[in-house]
Amino acid sequence: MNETPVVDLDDDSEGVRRQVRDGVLSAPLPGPGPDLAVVRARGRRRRRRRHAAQGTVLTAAAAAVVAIMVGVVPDRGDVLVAGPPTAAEVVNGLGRPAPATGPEAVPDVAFSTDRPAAVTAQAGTGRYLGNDDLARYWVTTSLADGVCGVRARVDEGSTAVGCSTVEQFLERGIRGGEVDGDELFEYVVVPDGFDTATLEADGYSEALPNVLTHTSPYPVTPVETPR
Amino acid sequence: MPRLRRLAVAWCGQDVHRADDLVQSALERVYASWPRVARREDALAYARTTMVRVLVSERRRAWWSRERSTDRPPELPGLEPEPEGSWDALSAVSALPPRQRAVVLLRFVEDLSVAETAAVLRISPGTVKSQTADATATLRRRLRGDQQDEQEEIRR
Repeated sequence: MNETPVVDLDDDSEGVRRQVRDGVLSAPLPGPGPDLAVVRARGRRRRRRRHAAQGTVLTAAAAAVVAIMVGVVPDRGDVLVAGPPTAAEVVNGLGRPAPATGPEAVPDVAFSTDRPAAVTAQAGTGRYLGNDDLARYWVTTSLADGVCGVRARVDEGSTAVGCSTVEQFLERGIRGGEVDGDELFEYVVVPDGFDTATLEADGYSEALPNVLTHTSPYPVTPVETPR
Repeated sequence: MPRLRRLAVAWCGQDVHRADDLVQSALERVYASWPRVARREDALAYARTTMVRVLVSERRRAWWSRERSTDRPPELPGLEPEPEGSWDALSAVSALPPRQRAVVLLRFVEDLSVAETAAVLRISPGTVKSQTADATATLRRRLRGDQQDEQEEIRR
């Protein structure tokens, strides 16, 4: 007869200690773990910010971000994307409460350039990449040339849903969870034709095996960056 | 990184995504300080200390209480952890108060001494001891309860 071995926990704390240790060390670790490309990008930004705060270094990228921050106050629900220092891109409407289905659920994506856009969404992981105190309304992450990290703001009371494909992402707008208040979610926008091997070489696809690339079938409207 | 993830997972219970976010935040800080960290022989210990402090500080952030991630987002095949026996201990640990949780993880899993744990958490050695005792008592009660239930199940 098979009986589950029982640790004698009354002897001392060693049983508890062993059980906790074994439990933690043997716990499955599903998924690839944190996105190392994002870690690098944010780490660089964090370092730049620290230097800027020290008054020693204000990089061109940081200067662009500051210019945007002081010049623009986005409306609630708008998402302002500051990509590489040479390009400012605006994505409108992603922060609206997303209808669950139907063509009206497609967010109005507009870029400041007339190039078609592809969206590489961090779809399927069901997680967002986190927040930081700088990019509450806009995005500062530049993961690679022409690749922007995007943060979408979710209005209070809206319900975001998980998406496992980019198509679902575009249909439903924002993935994530039920949100009580303002919250930020991220995905990645890349130019059409962007070689995702670059991301792969940067450890991106390794970290996010569910990253999907999608050329948006929806019209891309040139817009001006708000001043 | 697996070691850091395990600590974070144990901290967050079964919410692996949140654990990964926390590991990511810790690694960002380590990255930003890398020129200094790289000169140290105990870079891993530095990263661990950073993460524990991130864990504690993240707990205080406002968004923590405002956002409720869905426990089972749709369309996530293969990404959710499969509950196994090992989650029993994890669940018990993750239900501890934050400081007790940190003490337990550092002492039981990372094998830090009382003094080392106190240094990481910036608390006194006496507090580490008392927190360890309280946490151990709670864990003993919970884990023993589970085992007793299991034994009774087997007898039936």
